Amino acid sequence: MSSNKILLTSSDGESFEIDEAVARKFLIIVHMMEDNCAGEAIPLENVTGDILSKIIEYAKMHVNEPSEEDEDEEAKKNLDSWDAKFMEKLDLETIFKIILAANYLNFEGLLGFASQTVADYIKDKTPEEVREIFNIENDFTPEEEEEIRKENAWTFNE
Amino acid sequence: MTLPELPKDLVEEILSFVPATSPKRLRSTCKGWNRLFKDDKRFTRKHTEKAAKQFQPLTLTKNYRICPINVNLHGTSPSLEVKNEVSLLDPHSKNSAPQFNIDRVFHCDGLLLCTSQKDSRFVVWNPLTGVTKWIELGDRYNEGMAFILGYDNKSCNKSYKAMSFNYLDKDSEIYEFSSDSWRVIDDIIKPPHYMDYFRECFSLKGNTYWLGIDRRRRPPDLRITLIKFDFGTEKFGYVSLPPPCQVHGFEASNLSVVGDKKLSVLVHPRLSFLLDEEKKVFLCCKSKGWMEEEDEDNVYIVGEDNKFILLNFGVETIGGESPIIINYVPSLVQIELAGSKRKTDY
Repeated sequence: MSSNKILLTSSDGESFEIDEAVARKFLIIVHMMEDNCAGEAIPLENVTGDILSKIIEYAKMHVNEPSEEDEDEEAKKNLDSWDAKFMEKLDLETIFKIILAANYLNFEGLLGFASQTVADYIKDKTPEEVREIFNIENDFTPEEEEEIRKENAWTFNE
Repeated sequence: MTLPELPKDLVEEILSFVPATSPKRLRSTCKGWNRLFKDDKRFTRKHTEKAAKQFQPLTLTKNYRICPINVNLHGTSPSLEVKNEVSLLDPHSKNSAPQFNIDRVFHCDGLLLCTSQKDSRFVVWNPLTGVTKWIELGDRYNEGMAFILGYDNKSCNKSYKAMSFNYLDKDSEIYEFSSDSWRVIDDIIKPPHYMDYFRECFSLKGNTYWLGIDRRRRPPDLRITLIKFDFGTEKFGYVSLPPPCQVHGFEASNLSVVGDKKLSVLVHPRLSFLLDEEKKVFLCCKSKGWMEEEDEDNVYIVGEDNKFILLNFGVETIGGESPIIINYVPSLVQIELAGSKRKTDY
């Protein structure tokens, strides 16, 4: 496998040089590379430098993604542990930005992981807290809200 | 900290990872989310694929109620807690807030098919969402009936069907939810096995499995056979299990599903068990009478460290039979019904 370098430019002008193997994790780039002349930098209009650097950091760790049947439990555990630490350091705003960027770049692995992280974060929150996070308006009338509360009251209690 | 606004499809992506038991609270966020968790089949499919599977063992008590069992392995003394019953209201009862007395239950992918003694209905119930579908049997009903629930796992539409069995050896019938119709299966070739259609069967990927003994053989040639009913082809199939699964006599054996990928066979009379893949717990439950000196129902819990812990189950069962542990996996699944509008019954 050739170790071609690909040059990426973020929306705010930062440049990143990465291995082709890493760049191929971003499906949008795979398409762009096919149209691109060799050597030219690929502009990523929708991603700022700070977010792009985080995404590249994650992509580099996951370049050799172990398959489901891989027997190397140790390696999987280490990767999971690295992933957890990676997310822990990030605030919710950054994670949201990562989700938007990973979606734009078509980087399935990170999109799933970041979405799972947010899902775990909100699963125990109250409706008010969740509304604030997603900037959602409560369009229930008090009667409707009461009805939903009743509906849920007699299913599983946690 | 103002969070960037996420487009609808990315919010849905996030929500499809929320564990199945959490949506109760999230549903009251706004009407859009409520609709998503309750009515959106496309979302439900996505969610079933993505969200981490939780295992919630259930048991059927002598009071004809379903109760969740929580196994707690943390701390110095692991414990088993049988929680309060999950309510299933009977819409036809004249009392206020009347519960349906469940005497048999069959689990398939997060749905429970329940029947009650001397009641000519069965109900398919998703305990997580509370949605129920009641089917009136009318003339079809006879007291010795039992049902299984399944779907064709080869088709992209999960079209649910129920099948009836009865002691009177009448023909089995299949009920299709999508068309609200019954069909007699008169050319069904029942396997030449001695098996108990009414107990110890399990659903895996839409099909139902039992253990049986081939009637045509005699000891020491007896083999335990795994019998399957395929809801797609609507036929029975069977495979003999290799030795050392030989028996000289036959009593009700037990079969259980491990996670939702593998089927695990434990052959022993009056023993039921389940395995929780996530918590790595093996729950083994034997009823009284197995060993003379014991007169209580006990549960063995084996944690990851392979240590046995013996606990008293503390739940009395219907007719003193062995405790039924249902390897339930909460899910948002809904059954597609005949007609366009779906009503929620309580």
